Amino acid sequence: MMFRVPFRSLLVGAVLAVAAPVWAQPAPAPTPSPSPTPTPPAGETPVTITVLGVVRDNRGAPVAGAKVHTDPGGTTAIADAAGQFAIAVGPGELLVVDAPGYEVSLVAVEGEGSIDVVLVPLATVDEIIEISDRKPTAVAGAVSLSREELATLPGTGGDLLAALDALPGVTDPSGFGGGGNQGVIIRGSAPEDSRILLDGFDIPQLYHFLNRSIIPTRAVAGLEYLPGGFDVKYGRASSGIVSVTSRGGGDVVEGASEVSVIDASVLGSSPIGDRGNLLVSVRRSYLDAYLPALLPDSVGLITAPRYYDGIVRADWDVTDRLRGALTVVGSDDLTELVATDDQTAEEFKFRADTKFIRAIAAGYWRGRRGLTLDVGLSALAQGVSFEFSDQFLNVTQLSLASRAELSKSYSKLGGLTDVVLRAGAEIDPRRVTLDLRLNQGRDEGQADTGMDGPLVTFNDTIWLTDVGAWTAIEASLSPKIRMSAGLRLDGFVRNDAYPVQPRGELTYRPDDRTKIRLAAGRYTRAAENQDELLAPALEPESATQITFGGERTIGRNGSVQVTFYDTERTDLITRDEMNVYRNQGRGRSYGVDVLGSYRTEQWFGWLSYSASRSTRRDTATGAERLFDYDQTHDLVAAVSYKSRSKRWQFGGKWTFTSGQPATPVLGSIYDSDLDLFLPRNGDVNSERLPSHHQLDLRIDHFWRFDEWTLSAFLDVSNVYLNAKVEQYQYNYDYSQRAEISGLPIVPSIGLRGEL
Amino acid sequence: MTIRSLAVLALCVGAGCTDLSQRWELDHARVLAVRLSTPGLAAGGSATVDALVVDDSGAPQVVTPTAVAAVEDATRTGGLIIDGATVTAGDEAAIGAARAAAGVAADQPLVVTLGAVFVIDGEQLIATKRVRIGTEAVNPAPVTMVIDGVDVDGAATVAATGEVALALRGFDPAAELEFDWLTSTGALSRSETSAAILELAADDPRTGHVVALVRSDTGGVTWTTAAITAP
Repeated sequence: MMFRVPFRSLLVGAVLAVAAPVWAQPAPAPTPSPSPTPTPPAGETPVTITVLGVVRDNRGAPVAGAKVHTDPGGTTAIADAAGQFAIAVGPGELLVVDAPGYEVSLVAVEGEGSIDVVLVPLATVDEIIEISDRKPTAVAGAVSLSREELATLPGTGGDLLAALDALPGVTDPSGFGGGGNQGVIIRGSAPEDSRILLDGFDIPQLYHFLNRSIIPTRAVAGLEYLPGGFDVKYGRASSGIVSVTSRGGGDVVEGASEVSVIDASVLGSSPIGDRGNLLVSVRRSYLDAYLPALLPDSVGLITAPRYYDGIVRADWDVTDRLRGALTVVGSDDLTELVATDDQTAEEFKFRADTKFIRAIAAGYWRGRRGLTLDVGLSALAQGVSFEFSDQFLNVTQLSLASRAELSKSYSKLGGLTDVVLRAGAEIDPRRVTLDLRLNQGRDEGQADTGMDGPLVTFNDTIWLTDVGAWTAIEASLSPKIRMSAGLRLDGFVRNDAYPVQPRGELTYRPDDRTKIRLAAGRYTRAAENQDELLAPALEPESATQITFGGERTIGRNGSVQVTFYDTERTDLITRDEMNVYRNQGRGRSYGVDVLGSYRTEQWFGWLSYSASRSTRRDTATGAERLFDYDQTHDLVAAVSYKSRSKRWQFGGKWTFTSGQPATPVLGSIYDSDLDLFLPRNGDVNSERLPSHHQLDLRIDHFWRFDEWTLSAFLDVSNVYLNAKVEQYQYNYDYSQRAEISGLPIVPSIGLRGEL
Repeated sequence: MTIRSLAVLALCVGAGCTDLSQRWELDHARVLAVRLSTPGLAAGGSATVDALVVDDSGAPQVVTPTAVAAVEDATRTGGLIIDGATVTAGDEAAIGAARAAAGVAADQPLVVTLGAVFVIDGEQLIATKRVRIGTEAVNPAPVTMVIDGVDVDGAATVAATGEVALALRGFDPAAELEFDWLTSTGALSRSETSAAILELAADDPRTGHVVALVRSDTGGVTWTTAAITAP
C-alpha cells in the first residue's frame, strides 16, 4: 500500500521491544548460488563481501526500517523505504533480520549477491501459514526505483521525475508538447489520465521551470510506477499511477548539501528521542541571478524564473504497533517578464506564479492476527496566477482529503490460502475559486486554425467532492496461482456520477524465477481537468484495461519483464460542432513494454523499450486518428559503473524516440479583411516530427573522509548536440516552417557534501 | 498549452527563436490586400474587385482576380450577382430575405464573403473579401508615402545604410485605421504603426520596394508603394 511504506521507517530502534519467538525464515528464491569466496591467508584481514537485499512482508510490501545485522555484535544495516539494504559481512555468516511487528528471520550468507528476505507479521504467530517468496502485488509492467537508483540514473541529473522518462511506457514528459506541469503521459494517454502521488495524495505541481522536479530525490525513499492494471485502492485515474514515497529520517544525524549551476539544496535528518526522527530539505534556484544577462534587452525580466521548495517529515512510534508521520511539502515558482513587440510598439507582460503546500498526517497500525489499519489526512492549499498580455487565470484551491484502508490476513479461509481481505474509503472535498479571462486553448487532436479560440471568462467558486470506496480479496488458489479481485466505487458528486469499477489479476508462477500475470479492469477519471470544470454535466472518462505480461529473474543480478496491454477508452471528453464539451470520444491504446535490468555492486544496466499505438475518434463515428502523444518507439539504454575504490562513478544513457504526431499544413487562404492567413490543414496528426536520439553522460567523484563525504558531479544531457524537435512553427502565411528544438546540450555541474 | 510552454514562447517572442520570414518581408509571391472599389453596396450597387500582390522578387502590382465566387449559401447572398471581377448587389427584397435567413437585423449590413483567385508568377493564390450589402462604406482616402520627411511619388533614393524614417500623410487621424508597412529590402520596425523605421545594412539589396497599407474597420483599404534605391 502506497502510504503504508514510509511509516515503516519508524520501526528502527523498536525491534527489541517486541517480545516474540524467533521464527527462522529461509531465504526465498531467487536463492543466491554459492560463489567462490577466498579464504584469507593467516595474518591477513578477513575478507568481507557486500550483500544486497530486499526485505518484504508476506504480502510482498517492503519493510522499511528493518534491521539487518550479524549476530552477535556485528555490522548493521537498515532497510530503506523500498526495503532495500546493503551490508558487508563475512562469507558464511548468519544475518539476523527483524522489525517491529514481525517475526525475526535468519538468513545464511552464501556469497556476494542479492537476497530476498520475507518477514512474517507477529499477528500470524498463532496461525499456520505458508510463506513463499511472493513479490509485491504491483501489476505486470510495474517498476520500483529506489532513491539510489533515482539519484544515479544517468541523464536525469539525479532528478526524481526526470527518471520517469527512462521507464517503459512513459512518453517524454518534458518539452513543449509533453505533459509538463499537467502530468505524465503513460501508455498513450493524456497527462490528466494519470496521477502522481506523494505518500498517497496528489501532487498538484510536478515540475519547476526547466523540468526540475519539485521533490528533491534525496528526500524520497522510492518511486513506484504502475502504468496500468493497478489495484482498486487507486482511483480517479484512467491510465497509470506514479507513487512517490517520502523519506523518513534515520537513526543517526545525517546531512547533505548540493550546489549546482541551477539550484542549491540542504537536507538534514536526525532522530528525536528513541521513537522518532525528523527530515528537513529545502532548495532554492538562482537562475534569476544570471539569466537576465543572457537575454536580449527587449526582454525585460522583472523576476527571472526562480523557485523554492521544501519538504519536512517527522515520524513517531506511538506504540510498538502504531506509527504516525507528518509530512509537509511545498513549492513556489515565479516568472515575470515584460517584452516589447517591435512592430506594434506595444508592451506585453508575462507572469506565472504557482505555489502550493500540502500537509499529510498519517497513522499506521499493525494489530494482532493480521489486522492492519492505515489512515491518512491531508490538507492542500494551492495558488496559480497566470497573466499573458490581457489574458489571465487565477486559481486557488483548498482541499482536506482523507483515506483509510483496513486489511485482515488469514492463512486459510474458505478453502483458499494466504488470504488478504481489504476495504478502504477516501474523500477529497475541494473548494476551487476560478477567475479567468483566456482564449480557449487548442484541444488535443485539434489542428491550428490560425485564429485565437473564443474568449472564455469565468469568476466563481466551485465545490468538488470526490469520494471512493473499495474492497478486495487476494488469495492463493494453488501454490503457483494467486489471484486478486476487487471492486471500486467512485463518486464524483458535482457531476452526479458514480462509476463502479471491477478489477482483478491472476498470477501464475511456473517456477521461482518466473511470473506470468493477467490483469483486467475498469478505470475512470473525473471530468475535472482545466475548463472541464465549467461543464458540470459531464460524465467521467472511462477505460477498460487488459494487461498481460511476464517477468523473470536472470541469474542473481538480472531481470526482464515484458508486458502487453490494450486499453479501450470511452466517454472521452471532446467538443461538438457547437464547441460544447460532450462525452463522445473514443480511443484505443495498445503496445508492449519491455524492461531489462542488471545490477551488481559496480554495474547498473537498464534497457527499456516501448512500442505502442494510440488512436482517438472525436465522436463515436468519427474518423480514427493518431493521439497527440502517440509514440511508436521509445528506447532507453542506460549503464553506470562504480569503481572498486568507490571514488568514481560513470554513467551513460542513450535514448531513441519516435517523433510526436503533427498535422501538416498544405497551404493557406488570405483573409483580406482580417489581414490573416488561415491554414489549410491536412489530416490531423498524419505526419510526425523527426525522431530523436541523444546520449547523456554523468561522472561522479567521491572524496571520503572520516565523518563525511564530498562529491562532485558533471551531468551532461545530449552530449552530441542532437537537439530534439519539439514542434513545427509556421510563418505568418504558412509558406515556411521551422523546427522548434529543445536545448542542444544541458550541462549540470555541482558539489555535494554528506554527513 | 502549459504555462511553462507559454513562458518559453514569451521568451521566444522577445529573443527571436526562428529565422522564419516576417510579415513585413516581401520575399515571395503573396496577396497583400484585396480591394473592392466600394466595400459597402446599396441595393443594386456594383463594385469591382482587385488586389495588391507581390511576385517572388517583392515587386508590387495591382491585379484582377481570375475568378470570384461567393463563399456563402445562395440564400444568404441577397441576390448578389458576380460577373468576372464585378459584383452587383441584389434588390431590397432579396437583401431582406437574405437578412432574415442569416438572422441579421434589418438595420445591419448583410455581409457576404467572396473568394477570389489570383495568379502570380503562375501560382494560384486564394483570398477572401467581405462585401457589406445594404450599407454604405468607402475605402480610406488615398495616402502619400513620406520617406525621411520627403513626399514620395513612386520612387525614392535613400541612404546606403542606417535608419530610414517612413511615414504616411493624408489619412484621417480620427478614423479607426490599421497600418502595415512591408519591404523587400532591409528590416522594418514599428511596421504596424503609421510611422515605421526601415533599417538598411550594407549587405541588403540596393534596390527594393516599400509598401504601405491602410485598412478601415468597415472593409476599406488603400495603399501606396515606392521603389527605393540605396546607392
